[in-house]
Amino acid sequence: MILQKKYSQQLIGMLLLVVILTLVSISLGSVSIPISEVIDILLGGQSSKSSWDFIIIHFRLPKAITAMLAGSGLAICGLLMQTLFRNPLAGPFVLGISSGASLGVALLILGASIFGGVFTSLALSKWAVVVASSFGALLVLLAVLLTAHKIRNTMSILIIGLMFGTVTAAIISVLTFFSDAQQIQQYLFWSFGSLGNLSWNEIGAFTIIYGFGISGLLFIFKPLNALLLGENYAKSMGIHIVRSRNIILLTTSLLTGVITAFTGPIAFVGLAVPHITKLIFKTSNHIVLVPAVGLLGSVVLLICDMIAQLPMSEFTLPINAVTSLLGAPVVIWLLVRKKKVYL
Amino acid sequence: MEKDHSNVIISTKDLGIGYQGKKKMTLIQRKINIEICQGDFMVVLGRNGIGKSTFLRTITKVQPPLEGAVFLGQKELQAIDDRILSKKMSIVLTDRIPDSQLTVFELVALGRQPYTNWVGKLTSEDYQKITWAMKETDTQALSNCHFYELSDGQLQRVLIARALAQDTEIIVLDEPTAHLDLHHTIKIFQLLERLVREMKKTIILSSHQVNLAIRYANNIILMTNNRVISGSRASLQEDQAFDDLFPSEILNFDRTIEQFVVQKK
Repeated sequence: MILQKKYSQQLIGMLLLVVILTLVSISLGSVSIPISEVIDILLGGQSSKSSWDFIIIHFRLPKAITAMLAGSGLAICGLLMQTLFRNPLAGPFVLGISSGASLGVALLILGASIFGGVFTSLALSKWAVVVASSFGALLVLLAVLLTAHKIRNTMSILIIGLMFGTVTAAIISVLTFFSDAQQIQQYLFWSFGSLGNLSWNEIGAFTIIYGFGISGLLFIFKPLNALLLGENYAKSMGIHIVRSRNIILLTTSLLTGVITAFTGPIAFVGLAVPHITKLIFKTSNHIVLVPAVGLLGSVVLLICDMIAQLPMSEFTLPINAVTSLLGAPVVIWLLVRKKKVYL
Repeated sequence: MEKDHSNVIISTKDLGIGYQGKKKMTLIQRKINIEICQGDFMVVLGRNGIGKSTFLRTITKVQPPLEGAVFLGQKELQAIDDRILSKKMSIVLTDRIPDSQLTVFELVALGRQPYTNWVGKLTSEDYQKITWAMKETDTQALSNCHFYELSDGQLQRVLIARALAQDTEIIVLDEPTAHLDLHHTIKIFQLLERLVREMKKTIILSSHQVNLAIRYANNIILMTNNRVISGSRASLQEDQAFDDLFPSEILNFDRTIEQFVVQKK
């Protein structure tokens, strides 16, 4: 609004940061590639070593893109949930949506050893994992939506979301108990989270579904801002509450579902990035917040990925562990300092 | 004196208000038949729990009627689309505003939502209305404050500014003077009275400040256990309706000064 200029400068700064981090993340790894070469290769030129071309085009660039999409998507989902439920604790994880995605995948992979048959062949296909994960996310979200419809108290909805999470974890335990070691391992690796291993075809599909989900945002900028005053005020300002709520929930489940499907569960980003963004930008206007949260989400996940790769070594840590280990202390520190959280 | 029905803006027909529970319906008031005219400064009086808020929430479509109907002009309120209604009626509720980093300006600017485009871009006309609304409510100096920094009195004025910016003929306020001291209470009443007088707004509010309300409002809706009636101060007085407002052993309505006074032992 009146401070538009300040915000656009901050946003451009953040965009530059994303670009720089992308280049750095591509250059780092078990084989270190100079940034100048990285830029050359990305611009379609030839590098001094052909193996570098291969590494960048087939491994590091897809990984960086995945990090950007997943980071921004999860962070935006967190923002949407927090505004919709008017609760700073909301996020894809807290509401059990990620657990739902996990449950879908667990049923598919672990179910294969129990039920056999069709499951066995499906479990090996990445696409089946994607569908199972999205379906699981959508199912839990619908359950939350149904209870949200009956119960007005948002605190109760959050607790119910946590309960959904607990129940899914329990079901997964039961499934694990009856599964083969091989399937358990497959599921365990998926649940560690991983930004790599995506082919260009998969990146393409990821991007299309992501774009589809994100485009839902175009319809809800105004409702999101109006919801800052609560549903009654929003309604009195001409917002169709039910429709807006459905778009927000659909966008969230689609994004969380597809991201969790391709990368496995990634904790913390959805909950914490919106708070960090609000501390930096000091605004609640979603026209500024949505792009800012998206960019910062990418930044955070790119940084986490760099740490996970343990530069100069052969090992890669599970990304899900890194985001939590790094993120939780940051959020605690910010809140202790600030003493208050805002929507 | 026969009432002029031509400029009735809100009316109710056998309205029953209350809450729809899962199994049973809790009716708080039934058979409410009142009319509110253009340019009225209407105050709703009644004891705690008598249904003032529920009544205001029902005539603003925040909650549905349990029986009968509310009419805005000739049209049934429930049939009016929220977007159209938002250009006719704005509200100031007692709902707590969730913590956020909205500034006073941004909060008031939200009142322009019915008129802005899909991203809520403010035109020069929107800026004009916002500035005007803030000037009328004496909140300009607070423009860049976050709303959580405000005192209760300031916040109430900002919420009224938001309703003003929405540029509606009708403004409905639920207890806008709750939590306010006498000075700020009178300030709010004077502001509302001026809006009715100068802007020809129709204002409906509930209040526990009975004595002030009686003095400022030109029409009163009295809610008691048995009935809901409306009228001018004089007609209600003639009807001896004020006597039913509170149990008489503590508070009495003094006809000569037209105010409630504490019963002396």
